Amino acid sequence: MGEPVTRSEYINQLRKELSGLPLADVNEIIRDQEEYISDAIQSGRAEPAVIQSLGSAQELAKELKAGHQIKTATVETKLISKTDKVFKAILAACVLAPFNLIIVLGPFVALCCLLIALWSVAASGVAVGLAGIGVSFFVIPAGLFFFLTFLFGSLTLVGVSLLSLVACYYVTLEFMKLTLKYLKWNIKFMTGENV
Amino acid sequence: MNTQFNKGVIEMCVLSLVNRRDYYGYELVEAISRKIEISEGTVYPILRRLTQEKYFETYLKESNEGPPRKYYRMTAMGRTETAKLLKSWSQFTEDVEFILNGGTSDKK
Repeated sequence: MGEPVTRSEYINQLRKELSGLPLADVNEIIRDQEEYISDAIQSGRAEPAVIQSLGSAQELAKELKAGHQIKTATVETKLISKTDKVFKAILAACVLAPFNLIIVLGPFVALCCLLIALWSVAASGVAVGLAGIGVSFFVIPAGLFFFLTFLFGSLTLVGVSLLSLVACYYVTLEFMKLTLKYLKWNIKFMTGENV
Repeated sequence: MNTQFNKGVIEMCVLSLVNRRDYYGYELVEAISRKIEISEGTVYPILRRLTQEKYFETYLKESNEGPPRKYYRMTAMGRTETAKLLKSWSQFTEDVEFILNGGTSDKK
């Protein structure tokens, strides 16, 4: 892609690179850039020099997109959608700075696997416990002691597993929030190469 | 000055300028680049992020030349956070200065 030299080339390229963002955001960004370029030219600078000093439209778009993904993930409250949006925000951060693949995406995926394992253990605890309650009625012939032991054992398992599920929910949510906090910091400090 | 400045430092400059009065985009870049060499494209994402994080609010004001300008005004929350940030920054520079001047000290 050739570097834009004129104002309209720059604006067109930026608009193209911003595709994927909500239209209102795109229009606002374009408006702001137009204002900036006008002001710069007004101050007596030549148009090509102004466009050149703005840097790459592609880099600007990448950074604004990553910022947008982080924002939408931050305001999302439903756990599953939040997880999905956090993942997308991480991908955007990887586009912005490819080494984030290693330092962010890798650990994130690993920790997600760990969380999935915890969820599975808790969920199977509930399933096994529920099955146990059913089974306990079949051990009635073996005597009251067996029946009650089995029944209360299963009930305890269900209870503990349900509590673990709740714990999993909060741990996962906190994990997503921390990831977003880190990503904000990451974007602020890790992408200084075109400063 | 011709150092590759970290975005964090530019952000601090932006915060401290807007803390004093309302600025529009080009004016901010001019104020910073008078002293520090920056790529002009870096400031806009910072402004947008600080607005999203409610440090700034914006309003449009007609200008005599060209399109209306978007001004950035600091919110009460932005002021509190900026005060904290500037305080730890000056502590930091003081400590660095001390070390650069050959100072050593056990006190922390």
